[in-house]
Amino acid sequence: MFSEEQLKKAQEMEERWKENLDQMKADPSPMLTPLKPAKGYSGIELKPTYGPLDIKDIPLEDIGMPGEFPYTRGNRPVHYQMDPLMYSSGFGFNSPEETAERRNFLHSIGQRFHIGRDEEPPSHVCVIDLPTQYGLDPDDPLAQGKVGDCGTSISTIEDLKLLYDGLDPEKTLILAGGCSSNVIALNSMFAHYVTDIRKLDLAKTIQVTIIMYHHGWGNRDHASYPPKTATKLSVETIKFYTENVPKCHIVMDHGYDVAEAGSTPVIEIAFSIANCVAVLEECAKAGMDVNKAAAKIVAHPHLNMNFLETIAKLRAWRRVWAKTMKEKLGCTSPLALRHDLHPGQCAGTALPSLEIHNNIIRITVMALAGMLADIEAVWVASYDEALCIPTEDAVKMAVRTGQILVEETDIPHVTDPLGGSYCIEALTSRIEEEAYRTLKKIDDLGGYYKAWESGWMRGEVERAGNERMIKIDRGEMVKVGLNKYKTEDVSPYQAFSRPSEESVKRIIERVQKYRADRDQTKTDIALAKVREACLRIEHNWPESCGELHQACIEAARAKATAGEMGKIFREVFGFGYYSG
Amino acid sequence: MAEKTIRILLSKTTQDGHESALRYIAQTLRDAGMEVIYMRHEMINEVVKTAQEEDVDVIGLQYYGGGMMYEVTSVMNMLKNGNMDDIKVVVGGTITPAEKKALLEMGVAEVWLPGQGRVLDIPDVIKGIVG
Repeated sequence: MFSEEQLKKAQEMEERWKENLDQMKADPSPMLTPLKPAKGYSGIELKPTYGPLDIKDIPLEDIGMPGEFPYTRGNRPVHYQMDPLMYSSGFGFNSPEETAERRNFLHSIGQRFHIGRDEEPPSHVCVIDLPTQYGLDPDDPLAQGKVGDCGTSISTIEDLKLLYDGLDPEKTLILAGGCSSNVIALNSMFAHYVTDIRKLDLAKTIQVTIIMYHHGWGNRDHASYPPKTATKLSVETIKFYTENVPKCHIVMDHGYDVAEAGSTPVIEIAFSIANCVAVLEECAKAGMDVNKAAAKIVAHPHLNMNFLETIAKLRAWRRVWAKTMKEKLGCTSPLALRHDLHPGQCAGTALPSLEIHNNIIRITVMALAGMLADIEAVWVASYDEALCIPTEDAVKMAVRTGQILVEETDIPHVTDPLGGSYCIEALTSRIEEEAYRTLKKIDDLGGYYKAWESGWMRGEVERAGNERMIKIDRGEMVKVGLNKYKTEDVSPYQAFSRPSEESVKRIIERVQKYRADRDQTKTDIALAKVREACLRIEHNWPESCGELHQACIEAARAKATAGEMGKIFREVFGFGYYSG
Repeated sequence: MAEKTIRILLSKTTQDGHESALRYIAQTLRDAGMEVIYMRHEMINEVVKTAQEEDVDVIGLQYYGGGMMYEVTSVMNMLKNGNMDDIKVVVGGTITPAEKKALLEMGVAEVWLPGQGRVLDIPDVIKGIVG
């Protein structure tokens, strides 16, 4: 990167700096604390400062310019100046109609798909309750007590109509399906709701494929389908949406989940990308064009309080993705090689439950890290996340945080303003290096599935997660107001309330009426076809790839519920814990 | 005479994967010398059944939303009706002060609100409860 002469000068500068530092360290003044070594969450050293020598070996083309391979500096030549940061904070509780009211509130305070674009509709990233995630209708005995509790209850097309009342799904950002192993059934509801799925050409409608959710090293472990089945269902989803909804994307590398469970930034990148590679290799076996499949996928990374490391991690993520797609999967299309970070989500685990207004500062820091790393969309958390579904006040604060960062600072005027920073480029390259080391380890263990089934992957996350919790518990990792500067006076916070009995009763009666009013024979025939398509996924793969979604859409049209489809999936595919 | 080893059953619903805290608690209790049985339940009666079969001293339940009042009420009733009152129940999670009051009134031995105390202190609390 530098000429011989420049390197010589840099060497001299560094030596002078070291001498000056030695003098400073030798200063006996009590105003100075001893210089201690520092590390990021990844274990990578954070030097007291960085200089030209720290980036001398980085090929200039690895850093590049924004909008070119390997996309370290961003996916577009310019970004927020022409394509503003998107706001994708999720919400959902009680019934669909109450969730729609929350969206109307958000709209009234200026929440928009792209922050700052008044003419746009609001974004609607829907959070669903536990039974909906699991694939249970609200009147299922297993759903008792959980309906509408930490998300909204969705089981029929009517629910979606209520949820999206007043919104044009073709013109806004919608996250359909949410984090659910029943995502195919839910997406089919959604597909039917928009009547002509090809109209979604216009929308940037994001589907979530957390079929791999049990790879939920995410939340340590989660019940879901067996790994190979989960892969097939992911491939099926990618194929369906690639062929039918060109403008929609699929969130697949859920770094957020694995990081929330406690993983390091390096593991977050490596496990997420390894997961995607495994699915894309299966896409190739199913006859898909890997360039088209890879282009469909967007990441969901974690934003945390390790500000500098987070920025470097996000940039490294794009670079590792680009090089891996090119070298491992032979991708050539720029759309496959670039990788949207959509959304970067503020860490829930960074937000303690005492002195919760402190979280406003934390959330701002994390959202800022995402912006400086040029992410496409941000999930700005609410300050009361640790206690409850966000109150209106908290969610308003989140909207305001996004608006202030975008509309009051000068950051959006410069794409990748930290590009070329000695520290950020050095850290980006170090994280990239460590990510490749971990990816190689997965290969050495026999590939993604073997690494998963052996328990090694979950072990890595579990260990790192427990270490983090021990540090917070012991006060070694400071959490202001929680384990340091703790005050006795803790004002009670009026948390958002759980769903009312009336609300739950209404939800249950509605789904029961829905079933009672339908042509049961038609529904049964359609559900039998869903079962058939599932069996073909089990036994006739990859020939059967692409049939399941259509069968589910037809079943939704015949008024089958999401829970009825979910039940079939669980029966045919098996459902449990497979993390070794 | 050696202290009897405390046996504690920890469980979460299969529908909720937010297990990080409970697993950390499990490790902490094991490090403190307790025998920890870790399970997940589809229906809450499985917990009581297992608690009886495993002859545990304590049942520990954790909730990140998702059915707490319903499940804990069921557990307390089942323990009472099954003459298993000697099994203590402890609960933690995203719980409000009002809910804590209701749980304690139901006979739950201890309820941890978010941010209340350190996990490292939980073993001593459990020992105090078991007596």
